[in-house]
Amino acid sequence: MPALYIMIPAALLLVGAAVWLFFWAVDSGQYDDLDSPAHSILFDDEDAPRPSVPARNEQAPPDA
Amino acid sequence: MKAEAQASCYHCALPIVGPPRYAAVVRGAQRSFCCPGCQAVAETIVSAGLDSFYVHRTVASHTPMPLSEAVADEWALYDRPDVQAPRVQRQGDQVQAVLQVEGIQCAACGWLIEKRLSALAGVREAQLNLSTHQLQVSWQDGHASLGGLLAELHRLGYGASVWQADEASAQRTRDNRQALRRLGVAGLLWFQAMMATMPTWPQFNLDLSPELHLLLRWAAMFLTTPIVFYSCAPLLRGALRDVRSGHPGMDLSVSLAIGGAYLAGIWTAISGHGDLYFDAVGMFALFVLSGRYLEGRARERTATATARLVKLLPVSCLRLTADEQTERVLLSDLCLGDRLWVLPGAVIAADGCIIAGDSSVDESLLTGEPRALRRTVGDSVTAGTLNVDSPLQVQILALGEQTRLSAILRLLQRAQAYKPRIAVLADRAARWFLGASLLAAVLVGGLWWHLEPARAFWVVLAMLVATCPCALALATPAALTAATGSLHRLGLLLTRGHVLEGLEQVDTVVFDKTGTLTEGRVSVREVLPLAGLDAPQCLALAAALQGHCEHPIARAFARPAQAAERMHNSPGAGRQGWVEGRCLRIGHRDYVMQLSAAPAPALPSEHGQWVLLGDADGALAWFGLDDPLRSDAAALLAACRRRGWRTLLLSGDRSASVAQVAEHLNIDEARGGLLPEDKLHIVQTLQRQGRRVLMIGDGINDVPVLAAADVSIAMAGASDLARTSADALLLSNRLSSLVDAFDLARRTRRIIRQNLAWACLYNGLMLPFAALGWLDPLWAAAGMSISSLTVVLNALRLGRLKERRPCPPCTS
Repeated sequence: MPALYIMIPAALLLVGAAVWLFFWAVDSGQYDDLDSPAHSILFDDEDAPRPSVPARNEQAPPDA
Repeated sequence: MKAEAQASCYHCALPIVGPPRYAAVVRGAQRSFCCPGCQAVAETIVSAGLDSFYVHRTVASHTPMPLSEAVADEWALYDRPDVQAPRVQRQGDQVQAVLQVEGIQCAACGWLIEKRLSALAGVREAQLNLSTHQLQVSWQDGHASLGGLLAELHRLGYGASVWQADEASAQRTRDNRQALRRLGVAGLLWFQAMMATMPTWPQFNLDLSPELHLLLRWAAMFLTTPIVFYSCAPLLRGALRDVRSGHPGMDLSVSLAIGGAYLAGIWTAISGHGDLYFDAVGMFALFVLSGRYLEGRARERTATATARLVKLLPVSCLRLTADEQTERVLLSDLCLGDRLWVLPGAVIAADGCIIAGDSSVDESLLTGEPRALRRTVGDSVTAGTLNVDSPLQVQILALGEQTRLSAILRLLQRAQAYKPRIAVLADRAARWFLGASLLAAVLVGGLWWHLEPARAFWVVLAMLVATCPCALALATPAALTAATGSLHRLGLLLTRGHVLEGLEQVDTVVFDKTGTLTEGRVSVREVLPLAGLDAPQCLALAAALQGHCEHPIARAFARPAQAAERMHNSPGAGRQGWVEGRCLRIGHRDYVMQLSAAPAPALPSEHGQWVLLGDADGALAWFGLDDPLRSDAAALLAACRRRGWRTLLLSGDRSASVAQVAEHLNIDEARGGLLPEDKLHIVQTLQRQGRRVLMIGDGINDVPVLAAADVSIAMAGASDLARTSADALLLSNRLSSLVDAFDLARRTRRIIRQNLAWACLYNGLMLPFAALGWLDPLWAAAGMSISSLTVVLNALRLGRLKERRPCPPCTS
């Protein structure tokens, strides 16, 4: 298994790169808000007017 | 006649009083609105092509606040370079600011705001954080303005203010990122360390050459070192603190296992003898740190969301210049001795003394007294109180830290410091557990030392590894995180960690009345016409007189179609104005009857509050005003009684309605006319008697009690200060959510107990094998993963809410 002599240092380098990438992502705020982006995708999909929208949401709900 | 709701507003779902007057076409149909504000917002949304907002939203929007002159002036103030500079960040010609937005109800609000602002000329990016309600917006200098953005948000029906990072929240962001980095490092390096150590395990039976074995050992050591010294640094520091303070806890227990495994690993890596436990180090670190991270995130997220809400004082106020002109200035620019011009409906910005004017001031901030009190020249006024009737000229005597408001804030901090601590189950379990496992390790180690000294160290190490309480460390956070998520969906936002555990230990519950058990807004319960006019006509006249007035009673009437002319205010008595050429008065009986000099009609009943409408010919109608009980208050009280809790109603209100509410809801004990200090005293007396108190309230006068109670919940409409001092915030504003929350708290406690029992059982089972010297790294790793996984999966059951009752039918 002499390949390991190359694979192990390569793995260490890769981990180093992954850690660096992860630090960059954390510092640039990628993980600060995990909720909002998930929602915004949902609405953009439905921008095209749909032919028949059920009237359920059309009536404003009674509990304000 | 009852003032019945016939239709509800398409935008904010408030009932529309009288025939619908405001309408617009939204999504292909004619919709009616309660007020011009809602109508204008809907028209803005439609004209921007964003009307699918009304399909996406799940909750009705807030009623937009009418635009006051002060707010518009403030926007203009923000466009001044010297005011703007400290509040924005510049990069070249890019300007960036963070706005705190109010009125966000669901994800669709975020969509609407981002879409609308991004479409404005000059705006590069707008991003709303749905958990903190902060909008990050950047624009090209000169093509858009801060004031313009605030105005646009207002047109969409949202209030907004410029947010400035304070040290505490910046620190929280840094801490959160630091914790995430530690967790990420532990995870990434652990996978690799595991890859390097597994081939050395005898079970894999790999025929490694001695050189390869050496390489793998050293690679594993190299990978594990950052985990110990970077990722586990807080654990090691915690352990050191535990030792110094003589209170051994979870940190010490985990650190012993991690440190032992790491040191033994170094010895093995260098000497080539013994078992390699490096992978266990990574696994412990990952499990324990994820537990901490989950817990911290669930708690901090909500804490930051509420900490930013404290806005007791206005951003700006009107100052009188030497030549008697008013100018709008920021609060930070005020000096002692300045003269303020306080318009009716404005909050007084500093402590001072009235030098001109005669008005009534709403001091509910200090006393909880809902009625506005008469204040005239020479009287002192307090920062944070509301000027109600007519303009006042105030000389500033105290600012900032010296104000009485700051004194209340300090009282709050003191009360919080004395808050009794809920004994946390997991801490006790960890302490007990640590003692037992250390004792076992010493005994077994001593035994092996006599029998076979060479193996004694490895057996003790295996025992430390086996008893590392990482399932124990995960048990509570995983359950709390899952339960916190469920509570959030129920509309209860936890801001402090002990609520779920605390709710189960409560035996007394204290309610505030106004705004908690009642709706908190005065509404017209009854109209009794006395002359020829019918009820809707009388209501319309009253609305015309009372419209655009900030007085709490005036808000009971719908916004008027027409405003009265030549309005005149008599503080403490009523208002006079002309409608359609007729002079009208509304207010106190004697004041109204002065106009016609006719004999005054008798009060219809002793109960409730009555105001009279009259003209020059005599009385026209009585209006019965009432603060109605919330529809789900009775269900909440029933749930409290089922649990055997003692119920108390403590109110600042002096009127007989306290007793009525208590009687109607069958509350054990009710007291009215209490000052904040009295409430605090009562609750502390209860606590001294050994009772655990849950407080549900909303007013500023509840603040010290909210801070001192074992567990406290503030209503959504609560004052900002009450929100921050409470342990949880009822965002849904439905008391019925609390009933579900009580059930969830019970389930959470059950699951935490199951988890702790399971974690202890696992460790207990592993201990004999470790003591006999049968445990090797493979079995340690397998057992550890399975037990942690079981605990997490068990906790995830809390994420499932019981199938909710079908939504009540739309009654609009």
